[in-house]
Amino acid sequence: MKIKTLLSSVLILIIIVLPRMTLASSLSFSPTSQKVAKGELLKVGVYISTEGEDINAVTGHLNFPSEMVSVDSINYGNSILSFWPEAPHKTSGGVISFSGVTPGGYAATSKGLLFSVVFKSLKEGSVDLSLSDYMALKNDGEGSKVSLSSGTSSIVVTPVSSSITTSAGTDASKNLSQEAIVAKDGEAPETFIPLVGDHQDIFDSKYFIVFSTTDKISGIDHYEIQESVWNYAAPSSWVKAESPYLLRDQKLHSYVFVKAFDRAGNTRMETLYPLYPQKFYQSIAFWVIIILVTFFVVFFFKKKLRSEICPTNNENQNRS
Amino acid sequence: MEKSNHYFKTILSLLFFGLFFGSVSASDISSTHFIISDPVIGTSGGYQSSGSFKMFGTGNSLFSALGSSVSFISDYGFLYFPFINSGVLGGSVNSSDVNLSWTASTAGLGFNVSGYKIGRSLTSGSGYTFNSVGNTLNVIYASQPAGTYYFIVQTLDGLGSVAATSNEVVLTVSSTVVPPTQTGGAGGAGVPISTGAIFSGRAYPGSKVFLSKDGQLAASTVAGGDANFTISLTGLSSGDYLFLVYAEDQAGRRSTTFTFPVTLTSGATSNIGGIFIAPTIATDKDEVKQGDNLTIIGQAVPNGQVSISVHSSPELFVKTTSDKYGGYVYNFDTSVLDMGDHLTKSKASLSDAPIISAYGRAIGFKVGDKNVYSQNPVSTPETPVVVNPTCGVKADLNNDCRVNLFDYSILAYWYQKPQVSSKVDLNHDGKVDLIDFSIMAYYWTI
Repeated sequence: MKIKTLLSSVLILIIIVLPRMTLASSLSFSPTSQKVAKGELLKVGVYISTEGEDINAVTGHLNFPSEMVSVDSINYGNSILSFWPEAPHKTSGGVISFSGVTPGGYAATSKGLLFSVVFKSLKEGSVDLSLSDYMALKNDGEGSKVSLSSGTSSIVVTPVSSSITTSAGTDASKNLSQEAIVAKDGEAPETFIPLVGDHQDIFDSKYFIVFSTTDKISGIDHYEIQESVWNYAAPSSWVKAESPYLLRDQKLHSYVFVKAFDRAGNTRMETLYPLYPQKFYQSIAFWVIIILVTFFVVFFFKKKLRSEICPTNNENQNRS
Repeated sequence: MEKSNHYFKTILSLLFFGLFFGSVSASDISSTHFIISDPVIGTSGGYQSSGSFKMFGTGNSLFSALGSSVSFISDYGFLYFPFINSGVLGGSVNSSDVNLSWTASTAGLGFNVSGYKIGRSLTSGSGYTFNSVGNTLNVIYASQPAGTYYFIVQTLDGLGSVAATSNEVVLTVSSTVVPPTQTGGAGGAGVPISTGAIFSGRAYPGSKVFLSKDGQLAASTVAGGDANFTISLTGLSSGDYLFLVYAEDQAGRRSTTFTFPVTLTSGATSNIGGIFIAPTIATDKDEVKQGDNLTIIGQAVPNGQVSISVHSSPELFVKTTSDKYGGYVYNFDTSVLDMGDHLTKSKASLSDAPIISAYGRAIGFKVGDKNVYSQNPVSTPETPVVVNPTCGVKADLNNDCRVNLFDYSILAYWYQKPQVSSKVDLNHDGKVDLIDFSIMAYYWTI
């Protein structure tokens, strides 16, 4: 009787607890296991499953044995996270740090990609990828933490002579190379809207510009900026820039051109029109023209005056 | 005989007075909050003015004559005023052409519409350059340079003065794709591929609908009178996107956001339909005296069923219907609620289709021993009071009533720096970290 009661209690507990356990948010790798030959490239994606829970920020560390694999590239252009206070990057040793947010929240039932890493295998043996110091925050306006678990990924690096190094495997590795990704990227970065403003806590309240965009295939490489009084960008006046960027023209009379470059060299240029367009009388060109016209008019009338005076003088001379 | 004559005269007299009084009474004026019985229509509403004031007023309607002197005129009865309503402006971008169209303005009681002016600006809410366009209801700005443009339409009265201003429409002309300078590579590098998405659904009649792509404004439009909206995005890449849609009702109340991840295929246009934005909600009181009514109000689809939930113990559900403008009102009797804090939220369904929205934003109120009226006055479709829910929120770091990339950049500037400004430390823990970004992401408006 007691055993029956105990079993019933355990069963009820399992029924209550199990769904909660399975529905908790989790970080995972994909694929969870793979084999590559030494010297080849392999790609691993880091995903989050929220099981419908509304989250808007994720942070963590991806740990890898740096003596076994090295980071070839990191791509987050296809991420569910739109902005990165700390974009995925390799820190000291075998750690990739990341912190990103998604405005408005993410509450899908399917797993969403955070970022992907292409590793290069350096040594034969077993490689374990894991996550640590991770945290996901609810989209509740208070930054409450979500109960979060994490998975691992296992990689077996085989000798070069292994049967795994088939032509298909080598081709897959080649397709992951930076060169291959760049070669297949024929699309420009996404459209974006630069914003101008000032704030007492940045650049001593001077005007600055902010901008951000993504590239879905090869990723953003860098941005360049040009300020000009003309409504077109000169080919040679670009400067590399990062957001936020302190504007040179603090009177905001200038056009500001912001160009985003992806790693394949495709560019997207956005134009910000002058917030306070220059009045015609404020331009140097206007005054140069005015001076030239004045000079011409004076010269013309002077010449005309001389030609009118001269005939009179001639007449007088004739009379005398 | 004499007695019957007396009855006859009495009936005639009653009929006469009945007819007389019947002819004097106008029809009642009613709203959701009041009824004015037997109003007497007066003269047109003029006003007195000087350099510093204008005065409107009504007198006691029992007076039947005008009172006047050298310096004033008294008009009795209900004043009426000439009016001009603004049109509803919508727009789209086709390649580099900007197409604008708007509904005709209506005028009456002495005013008429003589034409329209289009205002174009590069910043929202100011700096417009105006062009008169006559009586047309659409305009095309061809071959516009890449950039974001803000448009409004002004309605001109018979004297050519501006009498009404429409909603603002934001349109972005995308820049052209510049191919890479290097040669070679697979996939036809540099060839523009048309990839896009079309978003459609229901919001509220005349509401502004905003669409963001990966956290940045991609397009906005105005929902039609039937609450339907469609937004078309072109020039996208193949890949994963996170789109976000929300609406602002006619009173400026913001809906909850509708977020959805979409994977786009190169060269194809994806249709994302069936978006049903949850109703907006507001209450007339922040604290209500137990037993008094709490007015719950908002905007939903027109002629829809609105289910209102009041979080209590147990949770209470009431239903009402929205009017043809989508406005809904429910006077909730708080005698059934315990003293203390409560939440209320609403969802909408269509009467002619089995479609139900999710619950919208939950707002709080308190049941206590006094009435404390809301700082944001209750707005109705007839008398809209525009409130901006983003103004004053802590995540709006530059106080422009928006939480967007600009505020994000300010926060990012202070990320993990020592001695941060208290203004940017959103949770007041002495540092700017991911929690502050999470709070900002919650209040995001594009």
